[in-house]
Amino acid sequence: MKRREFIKLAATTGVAAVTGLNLNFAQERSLKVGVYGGYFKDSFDANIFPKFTEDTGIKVESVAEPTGEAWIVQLETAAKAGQAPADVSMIAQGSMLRGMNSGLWAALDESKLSNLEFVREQLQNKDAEGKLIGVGAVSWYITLVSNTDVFPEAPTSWDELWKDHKNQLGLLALSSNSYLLEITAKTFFEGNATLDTEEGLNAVFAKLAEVKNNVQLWYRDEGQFQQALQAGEIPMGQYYHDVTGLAAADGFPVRSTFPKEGGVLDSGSWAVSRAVKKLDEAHEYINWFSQPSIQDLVARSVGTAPTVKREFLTLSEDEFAAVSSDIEPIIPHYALHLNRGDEISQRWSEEITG
Amino acid sequence: MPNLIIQAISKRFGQTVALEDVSLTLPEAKLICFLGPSGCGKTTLLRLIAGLEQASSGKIFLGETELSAIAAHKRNIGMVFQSFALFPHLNVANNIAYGLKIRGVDKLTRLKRAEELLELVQLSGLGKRHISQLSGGQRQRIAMARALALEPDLFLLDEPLSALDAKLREAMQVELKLLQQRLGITTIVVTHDQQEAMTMADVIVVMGENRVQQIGAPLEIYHKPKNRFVADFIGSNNFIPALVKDTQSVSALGSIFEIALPKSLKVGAQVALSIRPEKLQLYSSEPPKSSKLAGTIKFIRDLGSTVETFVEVAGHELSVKGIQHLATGDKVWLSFDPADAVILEV
Amino acid sequence: MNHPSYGKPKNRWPYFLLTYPAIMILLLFFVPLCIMFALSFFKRIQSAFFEPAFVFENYVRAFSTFFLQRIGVSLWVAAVAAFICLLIAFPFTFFLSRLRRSRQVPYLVLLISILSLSEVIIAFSWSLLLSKTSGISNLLVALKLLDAPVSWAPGFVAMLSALVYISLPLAIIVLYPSLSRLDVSLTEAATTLGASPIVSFFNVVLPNVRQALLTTFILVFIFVLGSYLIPQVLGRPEHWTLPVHITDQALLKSNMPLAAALAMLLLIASAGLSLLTLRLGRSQL
Ligand SMILES: Nc1ncnc2c1ncn2[C@@H]1O[C@H](COP(=O)(O)OP(=O)(O)O)[C@@H](O)[C@H]1O
Ligand SMILES: [Mg+2]
Repeated sequence: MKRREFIKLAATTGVAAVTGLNLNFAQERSLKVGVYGGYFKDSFDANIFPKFTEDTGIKVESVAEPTGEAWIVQLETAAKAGQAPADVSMIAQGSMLRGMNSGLWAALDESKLSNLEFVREQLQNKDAEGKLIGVGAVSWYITLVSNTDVFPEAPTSWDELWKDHKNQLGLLALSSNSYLLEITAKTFFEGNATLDTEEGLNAVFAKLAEVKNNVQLWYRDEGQFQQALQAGEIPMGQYYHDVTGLAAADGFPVRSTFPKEGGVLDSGSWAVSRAVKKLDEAHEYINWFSQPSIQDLVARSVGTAPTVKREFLTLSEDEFAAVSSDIEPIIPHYALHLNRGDEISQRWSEEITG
Repeated sequence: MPNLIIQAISKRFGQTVALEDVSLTLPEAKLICFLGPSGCGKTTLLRLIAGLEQASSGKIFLGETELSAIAAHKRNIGMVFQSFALFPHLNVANNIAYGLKIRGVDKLTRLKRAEELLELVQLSGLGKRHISQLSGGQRQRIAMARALALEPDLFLLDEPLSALDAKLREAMQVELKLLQQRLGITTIVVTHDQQEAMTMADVIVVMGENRVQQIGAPLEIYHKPKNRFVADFIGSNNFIPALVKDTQSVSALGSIFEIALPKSLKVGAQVALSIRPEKLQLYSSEPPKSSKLAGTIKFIRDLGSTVETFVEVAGHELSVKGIQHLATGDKVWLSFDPADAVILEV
Repeated sequence: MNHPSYGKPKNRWPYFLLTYPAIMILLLFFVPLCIMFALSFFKRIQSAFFEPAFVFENYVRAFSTFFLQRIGVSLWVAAVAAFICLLIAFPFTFFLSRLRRSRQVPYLVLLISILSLSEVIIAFSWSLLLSKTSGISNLLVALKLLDAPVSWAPGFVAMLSALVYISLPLAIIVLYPSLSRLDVSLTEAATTLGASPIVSFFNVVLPNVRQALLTTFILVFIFVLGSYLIPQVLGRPEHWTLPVHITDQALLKSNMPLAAALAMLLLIASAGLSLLTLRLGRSQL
């Protein structure tokens, strides 16, 4: 998972593992929280963590998580040595499952999470035995974006990608972060269920391969696509709803559209490594974060979609629309990417981007 | 073979003046030395002749042909560089035959010619050697062989012997001279070593301060230096301040000397009387000579083959060379033959 | 040309110091390499991580047509980039080394400062430079050399340009010492022996800098081979080099064993090719 950040060398791995050693001699209570580096860490440092310290007296040391799955590899490696580079980490859904399968996550005590009731059901991660291992932290939409100068009319459906737009699209480069299989399945077939059968999967791949000629850029780095979208160089594609909104507010000729099939709702959860000692503080943090009032704050200051149900929030229509939508979202088929990921990504490389 | 004529050549490198209005006529088939202190422009003049530099003004002729109008690689000049500049990627024979190869001479002829040249420089059988396997002296000879391979009109050598040790250098001076006499090619050797120039040269061009100071046969240069620079640079000399009395005599250190003077000198002019140390004679009592000076021995230096004695005459120190049996502090007399003295303008 | 002989050290210290490079090579190069080698045989657990084992399945996957093609593309891209880089760097450095010392310094400083630019900055600058909206094609339109602005990125030429750009300073700095050590009097000697400038360039300059050229070629080749950001940002999917896929496997798919196996493959391919090139270069001398 990488958001709003340039790719960094995997070399940061070692450094982060070393700095993860907790040398906290002071008596005061503190917590290390891992968030995606760059925009996320900056916004949390500025708006969220100070409020938490103010409310609870627990000091927060934020840790920038490297991109992709490097962070969970680090967590896993450190846990084997009984170490934890952060006490609570923001973890993408694919990584949540991966960590669950390797027994990386500590089970959370629901009795200590009184605010859990506000959090949407599908944003509570449970392991095979039904134990809680993660609680929704932030979620965001990937939507159909377009340049308003080039396309005065907003597109309405994901099927726009298949229309006559030769070399005009920018799409995410990987099967596991673009969720284009899910989008294709929802737009032309029966949704994620189609991906569970072999014929269905083949049909989806075949359909998706039809967009190849329309794609100018298969991007890994968001900045590159955003720049091209704003300039009208690549006038259409998939991108983050919130960031597109911010760019539009800054006066760029771009718009984000929730297609009638829905935007893709992806999310990150708070999870705790089994090696973490400060379980009390960790629970306190997660519980605090799950309060509707804090979710309001997050939506307004970080710009992500709230993880609690809308009825508990005080967001206005506009504020809500800026980060979310009432259209039923497309939920990524995380299990498919995890359990058959190697095969899927190989086919992806050969048939879609190849 | 025709004369080499250098006509009013000047050369500047940006602000630096390397040569100032040099004009020379150099005789054919002779060994000529460009002699002068470092930085006086010897190399520059040689490179101008070879075409490796372009003159700022002036022309160079070889007989009737204007050399300076011909591209460097078409001039047919053999040159030995100070660093020898042997091609490290070629063996000895191929180095020597490089020029032939460029002219499209076939391989067999090339190798035969290379072997002839190796014989000429007394290194027969070394053709297959790699350059890195040669001693300094051997490289020097190979560089000469390579430059001579094309039977050049001119043979130019830039300080060819300076990299060799003293003993080898002396042997090579003789050898180079003999080689030049055998081949009869007009040869120019750049050197800053006056002894080397005296040994080898038929003609010496003394250079200094970016100009030609004097051109002539070695003994002429030695005995009749045209100016203070030449007199100072070639051998050691005593310079005695003097005043022109009349057209026949000068006064110096309180004595009058009868000496043939250049016509250009006016009566009362300040001049220098120059006399070589070995041309001064030392006496313990006043000699019956006309040109003489009285003084005191200040210091004696035994040089092995000769003895150098420093004599103070009227507050002026003069050097005398020659065997004598006197001691420091002795009162002595000096005399010389006026024909050996040279009057120089100051 | 000359063979320096080293005197024997008089005390124990220098011997001790001599072990320093050995230790550093061991620590910084050999140990990570061993870890990577071991990792490449570990068993990948698709839904989790990996576990220590001795299996060949990573290599089986690495030797699939897809990845072999990627290696082919990577080697090809690196070779073309290194070649173009040398075509530019060699004449440039040759003339640079013949300038006066004081004139050379500003150029060298500028080049070294380009070296300090990160691949990220270079990749994005080039993607802007070659874009339709703000790129140089607009300049060409203004100069009436082009009818309408065009987009040159992503594409093979775009990727190659950035790769050449990023490796150019490296090539120049590696070439510089040997070219400035090249005795000017060698070409002058050739001139007096009747060689025109072109002839002396080909049979005196070139043979004497050939080893330096080869070394530089290999260095740039390997440098380019390791680049993953430029191919990813400026190349189309068919130009994505193996390192792009290694990065994907390691960072986005938690497939360390396959990433390690692919890296080993790339390492062996590039080391083999480099040795071969060097061997060829020597034998023709
Ligand atoms: N390529 C050059 N660039 C600038 N100055 C030079 C160059 N070559 C020679 N000079 C200058 O010209 C003068 C004469 O040099 P040179 O001919 O090499 O003297 P010599 O050979 O008598 O020692 C010196 O002051 C030298 O610094
Ligand atoms: Mg010189």
